[in-house]
Amino acid sequence: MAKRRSRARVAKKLGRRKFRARTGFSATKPVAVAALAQQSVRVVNIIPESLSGESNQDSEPSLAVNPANPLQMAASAFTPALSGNAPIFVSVDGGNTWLLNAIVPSDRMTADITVSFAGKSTTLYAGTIPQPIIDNTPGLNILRTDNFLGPTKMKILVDRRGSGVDQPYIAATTIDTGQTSKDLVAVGANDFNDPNGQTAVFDVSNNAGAANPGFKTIRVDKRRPPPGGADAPSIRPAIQSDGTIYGAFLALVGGTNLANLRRDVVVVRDDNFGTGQNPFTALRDPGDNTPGRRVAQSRLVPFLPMGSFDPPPIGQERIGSHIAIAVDPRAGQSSVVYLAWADRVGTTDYTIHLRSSLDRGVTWSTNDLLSIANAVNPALAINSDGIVGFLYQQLTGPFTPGVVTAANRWVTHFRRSSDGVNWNDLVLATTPASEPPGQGLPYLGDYLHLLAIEKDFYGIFSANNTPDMANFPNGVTFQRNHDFDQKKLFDIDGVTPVDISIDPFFFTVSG
Amino acid sequence: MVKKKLSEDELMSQASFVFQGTVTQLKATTVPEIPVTGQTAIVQVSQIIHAPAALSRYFGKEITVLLSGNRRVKVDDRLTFFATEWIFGKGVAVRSLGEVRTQDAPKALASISTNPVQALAQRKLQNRVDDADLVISGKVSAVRIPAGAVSGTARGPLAPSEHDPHWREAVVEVQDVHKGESKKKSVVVRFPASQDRMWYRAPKFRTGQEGHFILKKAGPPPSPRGAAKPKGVKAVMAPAQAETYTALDPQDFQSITQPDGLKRLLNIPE
Repeated sequence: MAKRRSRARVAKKLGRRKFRARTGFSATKPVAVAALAQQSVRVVNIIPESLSGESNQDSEPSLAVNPANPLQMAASAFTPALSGNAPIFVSVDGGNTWLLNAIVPSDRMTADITVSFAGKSTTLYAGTIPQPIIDNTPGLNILRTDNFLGPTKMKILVDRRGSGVDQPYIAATTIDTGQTSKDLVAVGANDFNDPNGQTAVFDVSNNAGAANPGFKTIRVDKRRPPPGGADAPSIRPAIQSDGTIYGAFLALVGGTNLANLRRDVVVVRDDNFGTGQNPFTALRDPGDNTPGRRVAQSRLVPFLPMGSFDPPPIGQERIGSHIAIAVDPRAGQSSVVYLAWADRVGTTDYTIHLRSSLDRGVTWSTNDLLSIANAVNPALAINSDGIVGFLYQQLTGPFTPGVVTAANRWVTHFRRSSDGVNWNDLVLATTPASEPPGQGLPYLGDYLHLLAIEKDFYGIFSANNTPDMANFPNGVTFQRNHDFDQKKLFDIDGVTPVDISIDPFFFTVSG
Repeated sequence: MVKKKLSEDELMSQASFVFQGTVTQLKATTVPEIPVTGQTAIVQVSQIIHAPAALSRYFGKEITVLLSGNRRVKVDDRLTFFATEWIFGKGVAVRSLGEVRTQDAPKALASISTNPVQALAQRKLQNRVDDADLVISGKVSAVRIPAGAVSGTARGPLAPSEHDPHWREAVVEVQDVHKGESKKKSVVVRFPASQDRMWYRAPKFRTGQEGHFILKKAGPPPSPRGAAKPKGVKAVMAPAQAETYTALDPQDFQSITQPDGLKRLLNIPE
């Protein structure tokens, strides 16, 4: 259950100085939550009409919106092509309608994919694990296209594998110096090409649009894990146009098996576009004077299911690596950072924690700004008014690990706050967690995505696609054939019923 | 760059959507988001030869074709198109690898069946058999964890990835050999037990299963991985045995009770 406190009450109790130190916010700053509630919401199922017959588990979505032209968008999910290249979803009308364009160099589907536009062009970048997997070892591709609607395959900028690379997660922006304009791209990944298990890396190029982008792989975990260990798969970047790049990951510090792994929550920072002699070492921990601020230490983060035949622990979903970070995009505000991660507080839960820093990651709110029990997939973004958006998916109903019933629902929340204390809450979807039965893992995804352009928030999540308006309290539109009255999907003939499945849903909340 | 003109055999093997149709408009498209170019044309589909399910329902409909550029195409031309998918939106656009006049496409014409989806699946199955090192009929006598496997992950017990395959080995008693050579009475088939999306569709074997197996020789043991082997962690898998294979595609195993498919291809009696 989310904890909500009155900022005034907390400030009064703590005193203004302590309140600011803990939350990073002024106790007298006006709250705009009521105004936030008035803003318009749009939710769109992005499966195109011509694929009305599909019933894949289109989980783990990511989203890119072109800052130079927000009508242009790209999205990805575990959506297979019928043959040939893997596809991405594209939209040129601000997300009202979507197409599927098979231009990703991978056999039918990637094993992981995230997408991002840079800032001032139509250049789209992607980080992928391409298929087929060679020698059972996943590799990393970083891709680029200047024409995301065209038929030409995305260009491969980076192709490396070695001992394996996992979960590439991309962020991009354009750095404008007045004379030149260059795309800065950072891809977080869990790269097993390190004998000591310090696997968190960023592949960074500060001229990714060039013929030779010169990506450099930077290892950012400076602490050695216990033998046989490694960082968790999620390695997340957040870029600010002043050259600050934050990174967040979960470093292993203990445990004897996958069910009792202990991890530190670590934030790193670079102040110069990821370049320089010792990139990502700007932030040191006061405890050991080592690069990488430990925001929380020795948290229990089980990696479940442990065995192939064990049931997924929460609403048909796996757990074990969830973290998100966002930086305030406003000029002079790169000191403001939000961080969310998930761990186990009690004996069976999986709880998302939200914290913030106002001083470039040096100190952090000591208590959670929000704690969300039995939830996955945190995502964060901050808009041009400094309002933070927080997206996550929470399992409701009676909770027994590994058991899912008709009483369980996955509820997708989008929350906003102008002060980090008072939070508005929009429920984007509330869908049955027991239906449809999972087709492998992840069920909804190991991640989803949220971003902000100017005042507007844009996001994407995956959910049960039953066309039932009661499941989408803020409305929804479908492109694929459906009937809201019958709550059924139909094939392209409009007659043949189609099984429900997991689909990606785009949403935007206008500022 | 000059595009290589593909033979009809190459076109048949590379195209997932083979159909006949009549060109109704040049420099046009049924998908409004696609920019019209000299290579986009609208084609009315008159016969579908091979197709994935989502494209099999376009009989009689107009679709957009990105022409290969290998021949001059005019309105009213009746052609056989060898295509792959491009765009799915409100309408559909496909990318043509090559076009031939319908009367000049004897192999494609010979492949016309009442069920284009089944025809495509059968062709893919044939490709799997062609690429296989060994095709057998047999029965799974045991399923085991590979010798030396460390519980948990492929790199170390505390270094998980969502994509860990969780390898298992099925011992298959060989009843009949349809392709390749097997000198032993049993072969080992390594398979991923993982439910991760990367491995989910691979066959998962159980003791007592009987059927037909399309097998590829197993590569080197998947781990430990060279320089990344952490100190103090034993090899995850024992070295591959002489007759260790994999079956990673859903089509690589067909139960003995299932009709058609591999049985028809290998002339195995029902």
